[in-house]
Amino acid sequence: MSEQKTDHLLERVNTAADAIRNIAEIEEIDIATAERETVWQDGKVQLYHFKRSTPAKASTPVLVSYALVNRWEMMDLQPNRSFIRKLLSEGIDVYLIDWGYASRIDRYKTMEDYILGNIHDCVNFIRREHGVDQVNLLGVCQGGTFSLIYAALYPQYVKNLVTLVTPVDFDCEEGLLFKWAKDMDVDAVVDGFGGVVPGDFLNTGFDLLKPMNKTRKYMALPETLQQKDLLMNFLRMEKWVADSPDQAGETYRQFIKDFYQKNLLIKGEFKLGGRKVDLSRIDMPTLTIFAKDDHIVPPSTTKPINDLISSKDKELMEFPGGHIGVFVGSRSQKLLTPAIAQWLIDRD
Amino acid sequence: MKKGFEDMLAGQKKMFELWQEWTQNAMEASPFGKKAEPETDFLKQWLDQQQKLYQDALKMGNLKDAFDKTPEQMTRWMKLQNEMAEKWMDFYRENAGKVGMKVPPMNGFAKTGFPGYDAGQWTKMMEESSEWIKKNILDRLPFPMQPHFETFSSLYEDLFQYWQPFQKLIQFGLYDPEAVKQYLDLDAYKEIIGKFMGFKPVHNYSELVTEANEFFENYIDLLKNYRPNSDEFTNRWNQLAREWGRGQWNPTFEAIFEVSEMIQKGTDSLYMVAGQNREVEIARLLKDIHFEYVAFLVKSAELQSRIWQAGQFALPDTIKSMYRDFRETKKMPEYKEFFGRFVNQLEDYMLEVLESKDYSLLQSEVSKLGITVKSRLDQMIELAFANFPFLMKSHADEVARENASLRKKIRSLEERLLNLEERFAATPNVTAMPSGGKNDAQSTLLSAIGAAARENRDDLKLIKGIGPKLEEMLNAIGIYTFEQISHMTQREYDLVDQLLSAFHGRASRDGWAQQAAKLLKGAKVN
Repeated sequence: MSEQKTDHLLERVNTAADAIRNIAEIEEIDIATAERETVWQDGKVQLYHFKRSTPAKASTPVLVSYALVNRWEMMDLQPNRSFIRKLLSEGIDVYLIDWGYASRIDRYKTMEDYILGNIHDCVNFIRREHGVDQVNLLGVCQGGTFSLIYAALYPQYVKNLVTLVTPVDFDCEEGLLFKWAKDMDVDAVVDGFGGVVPGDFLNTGFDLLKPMNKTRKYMALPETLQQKDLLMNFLRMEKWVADSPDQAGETYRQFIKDFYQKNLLIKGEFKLGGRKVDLSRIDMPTLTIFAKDDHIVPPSTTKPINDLISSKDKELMEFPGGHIGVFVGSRSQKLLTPAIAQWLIDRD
Repeated sequence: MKKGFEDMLAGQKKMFELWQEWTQNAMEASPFGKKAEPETDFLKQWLDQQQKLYQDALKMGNLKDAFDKTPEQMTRWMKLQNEMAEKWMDFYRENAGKVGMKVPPMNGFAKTGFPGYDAGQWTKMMEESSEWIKKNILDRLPFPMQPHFETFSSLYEDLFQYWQPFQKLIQFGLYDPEAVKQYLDLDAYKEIIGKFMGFKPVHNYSELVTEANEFFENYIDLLKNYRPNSDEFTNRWNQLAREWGRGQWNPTFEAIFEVSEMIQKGTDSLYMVAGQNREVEIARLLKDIHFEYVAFLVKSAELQSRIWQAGQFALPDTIKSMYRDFRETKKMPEYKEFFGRFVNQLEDYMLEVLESKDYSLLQSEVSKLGITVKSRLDQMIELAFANFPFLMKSHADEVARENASLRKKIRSLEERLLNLEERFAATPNVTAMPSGGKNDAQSTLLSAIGAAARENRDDLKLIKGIGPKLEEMLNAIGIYTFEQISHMTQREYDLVDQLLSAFHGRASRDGWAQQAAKLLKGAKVN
């Protein structure tokens, strides 16, 4: 036996005991365990209110609008990596919209339904519930684009606006996604899939952005297996990544055509429910967060937001990391989330 | 190597400790725990002896030396190991099984005995163990991630087969073309690159296209000439059923016969073989599918060949760069490092292609063709089964469309309702009411009985004498709760009369305050 082969073997011998123990001791791969209550529901869409043990420091609650393309559980992956728990512990009252899983019945569900319907209903619910005129809106990625549109149409209901890794200028040469979406025959895709675009189809595209990411992740497994918490973190991430909802076809078609292909939002030509969406109507305090190494939503697609809105109180914040790190990275827990909470408390 | 064996012993010791801990857990949890107690001593002795051996071996430098110098002792020791391992494993499995504990992977261990310094045995043992780990990771992974993990595992092992020749190349450089030919099997390499990118590699496209052509042509011919005789089919079935029925082997046969007749009547159309009378339409659709499918094959081949072209230099370039490192450090890298570097190199080359406009267009075309073929197959199935009493996808789409327009309608109604409500709330004076004094009356009233919010409203209709219309009017002047009404006296009744003149005297007549107080109590009790 060659020496190298022995080493190869030894590597496995040495790690086997810990690996076996850690694997055998897994009971449940639990994600999104922060206590919450469904306070409003419309079909598949639910509004969650997260439970607080102490009174909030800010009187205005935050409504989180997550993306449609994957699941919000990323924001509460595990107790020590949870954007939501951190916001709660920093004194913010948090609501979140769970879009549910689109199916055939939703093929004609439009952006109008999502934004003028669901978001608007949730905002109104919170306003009534708390007896406030305005809520804080926090949008994530695609959900951030929705938040911008909502804030431009209903500025009177939005007290403060926070967007995280949110694309607004789709004329971007950096991101592969932006290149590919321009060449995509979205009609053929949506119609061919019978009006519901499978989550797997989207995932294949996301995977190709960094084709060897999966390989690298699995290569690190021998080390990951050595530590229970690393292993659980890995398995939770896998669970989250795999959980990619199908997309309501009409919304997908419109999002790709109007934004990725025609870049209408930034040009002020985007219309929703017959109303023109003018981003300069956004005049409330606005915090724009982008991730320096984001390969899904590169900074250059996010930053222009700041030049389009008319808010006097506006801030661009750079996060040193990638798209997902914004929610699960240790720097997010230590620095970013507390900073967002403080920003909101200061403007309550 | 010394370090290696030390590590191995440490790892092995850890493993024994884990097994011991689990055995103890199993025994504690077991209702037969007491009986099992002496066995722990047995296990302990075994562990002690091993510990001693490790120490002795380490004194001699390494395990291999120890084994070489005292072969007899080793043989005896090995035998002991086997006996103990087997006994212990049986014992552990029995106890753990009783209390439903997970049994770790040691079948191979007990069967092959304790692996000594024999590398073959070690390899076998470790292969089993890592298979178990792999299987368990796989079980824990969500379903869509499982193929990715399996692909990775096989790639890692596939390339490892070449690791020995690769090391030679790293040592001596990749300059000899013969060496390249000898060590890099191009077909295998193509397959490896394809797997990395998640492709199912297809080697011979022209063959595939020919097969597809034949398949579609035959299918279309079949349809054209297909004239099923449903009468014949039905008659044969009836005849068979009657024969069975007449046999009277068992009273239930009669019943079966009746049921089968019922089914036949109800499902006559099912005997019309799927697609009958729609052969022409289906054949036309098949021609489209044929064309698109072949185009899909050709375009996919082009896409895959670009990926291959981009990836083909990743391996030689990785080896070259490692050769340069080797010349400096004189240290052979570990396989894992080599694999990692190769993966990074491959990704760099892939991204160059993925970022090109050509690729983007090609990718779009391939997915379009693939999705179109799939959707035409759906259409074909719907056509073939159009006579059947099924709900088709296209029917579901109609429901969805209907649903969407209802959603829109509801939203616009809600908006109009909200506007009306706001306007209504702004002008509570819906009944004819002389202006002036109205606001005063309302504020006097509310300051006496207290203000309430709309979201806390009670169902005022539970009060006798208040109907929906009156409730609306009360809401409009700010009265929402039983609590408020329970505070009313004659003075407040008068104010209500003044504000809502249409219902003069009703409040005092029906005794609203008492009713409200009662309801309030009831509400609290509930």
